[in-house]
Amino acid sequence: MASLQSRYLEQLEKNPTGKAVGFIDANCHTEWRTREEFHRNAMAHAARLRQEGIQKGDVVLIVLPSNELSATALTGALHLGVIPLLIAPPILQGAQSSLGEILLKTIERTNARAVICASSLENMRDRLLATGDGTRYLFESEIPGAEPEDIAPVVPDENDIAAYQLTSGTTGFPRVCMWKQGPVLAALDGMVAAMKLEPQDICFNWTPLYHDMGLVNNFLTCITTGVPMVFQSPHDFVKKPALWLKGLQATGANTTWSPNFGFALSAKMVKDEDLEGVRLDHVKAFWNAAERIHYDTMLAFHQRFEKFGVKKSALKTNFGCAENVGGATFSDPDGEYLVERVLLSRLQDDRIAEIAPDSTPDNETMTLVSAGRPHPGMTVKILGDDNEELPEGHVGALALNTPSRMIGYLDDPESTSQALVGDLLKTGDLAYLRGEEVYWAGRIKERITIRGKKVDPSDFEPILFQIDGLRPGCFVAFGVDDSERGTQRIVIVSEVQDGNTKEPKKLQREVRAKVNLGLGIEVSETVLVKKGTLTKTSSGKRRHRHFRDLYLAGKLDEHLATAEPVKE
Amino acid sequence: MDAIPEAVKTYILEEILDEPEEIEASTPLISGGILDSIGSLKLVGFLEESYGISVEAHEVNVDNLDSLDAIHEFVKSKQG
Repeated sequence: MASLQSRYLEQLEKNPTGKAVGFIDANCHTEWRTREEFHRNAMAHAARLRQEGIQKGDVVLIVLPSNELSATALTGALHLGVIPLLIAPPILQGAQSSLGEILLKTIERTNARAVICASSLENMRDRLLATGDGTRYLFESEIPGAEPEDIAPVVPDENDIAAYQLTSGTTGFPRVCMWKQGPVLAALDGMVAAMKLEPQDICFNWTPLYHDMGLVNNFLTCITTGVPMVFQSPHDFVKKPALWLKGLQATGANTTWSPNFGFALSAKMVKDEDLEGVRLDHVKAFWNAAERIHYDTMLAFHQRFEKFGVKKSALKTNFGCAENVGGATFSDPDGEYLVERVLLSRLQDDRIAEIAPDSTPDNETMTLVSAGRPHPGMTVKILGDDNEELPEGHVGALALNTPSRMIGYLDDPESTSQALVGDLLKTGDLAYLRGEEVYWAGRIKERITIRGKKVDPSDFEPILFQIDGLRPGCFVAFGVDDSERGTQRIVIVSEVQDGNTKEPKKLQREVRAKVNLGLGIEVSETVLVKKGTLTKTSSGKRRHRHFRDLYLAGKLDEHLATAEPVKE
Repeated sequence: MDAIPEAVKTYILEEILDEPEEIEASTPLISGGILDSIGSLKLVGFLEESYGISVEAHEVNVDNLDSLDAIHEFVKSKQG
């Protein structure tokens, strides 16, 4: 029976001295590990987990930065047949207060047997240990804490659960996708075929291992196919985006991924002198995925780095989601990505993508980037409001008939039944087809994606609830595309309580600070409006999309709140 | 204001923030919500490049980066 583990072991056996994983530092020095070296390091983690009594089918949470430690800990865990779940550790020590709640709830929900904790969680140590639920906590400074041992692998079969993965939820808490072995392998096979990934390729990855892009599109793909992979710290990339491009040159890597914001950040921040001597002619694929792909960003990246050898045909596009395990649609691996310039009014009013005549002014059109075609073995359908299949060019719900779909959300049958309908996975996205090409057009629900990270408006509720001066529960939150940054910026609109005496500026700062500390993300703008402005639906739901439209049209201005004077 | 805090303030205002903010030497940058985690990392990249220092992951914390004063002290301590 095939599994992630059996494929990994096949590669190890086939070429133990071949390059497996490289780790590049901020000076562009790369430490390569052969497959047997990497495996030996992973076996120390396997030995440690076994000492802790961890067995096949146990859930192990890995809350580590993306580096050699997390890669070997994950591999060691997989060797024992455990179900890993990777979670983002806090970047700023002592600053992300909601992570503790998410971690504790995830431990409880998954019945985790062990948690491997980053040093940035040290300030939570007592709180974690106090849970007294039998979960083992291994801190970064204490791992692996065992010598590598020759431990017999536990090889699961296709029907065993391979991994869990967090994705955004609608209750202020992430959902847990459950992935079986068979679908994970189907995802990897589909991706390798669609990308035309070859054994002589080298993948370069700065995206976090706890994100689908780092985990599936890079790490799992590489260790199961024998394609060498280079790890770069996501922090190094954010601090100095030039290191991504320099790393591609230094390692000879020819395939790499980034959310759209990474392309925008690089185009804006990298200076010519940062790339002295760098040539990128050898890079065959810069894959853009995980958030809306901006045509402006694609153009800017190409124009900025063409003189360093970046070919237009090397810019690739993809759509994927955690519910599908990995990438679903891919632009042509041998050609250029496609775009369409469509009439804005037809798209917005009729939900039809009609090609704009050349003479149409730019402000009456929108240029959409194709996310490519479904990988072999998958078909795409666009559904109307009654689940009828829509013709080409009509915008509707994106549904995948896919061999790689999740088996559901852990302990969430309602959400599962909304996502998995018959043979289809409904992704929650809006899209249209042109031939086989899938053009992404938005989200059905109001999820926000900032730098590839998915945020649900409900995530803000517990934070806003704590702020005196805001009407509890009376807010909307939405994302607004920011083409300069290549991602979305977050706008929160909240009603102000009767009798509020705080100055708007003070309340706005408080919102920004508390969201920043709670979720680790930046609110670009907080709009404070009068009580009664943010009317809800008849069923009491918030109308994020409606008020987003009013905000963009400048129609919230007449509802702005002011502070009441303090009474003497 | 000394040269380092002044340069840091200029960087934050020009490269990180969407809207102008009044930033004084003691204004809380992280706990006051001005810098998020990505903004903090960008700032660290700026400090490393501008002042020839290397910042370890565990040093990217509220104590070291929460105000212009704290950043000034941190940079001076790293420069030895």
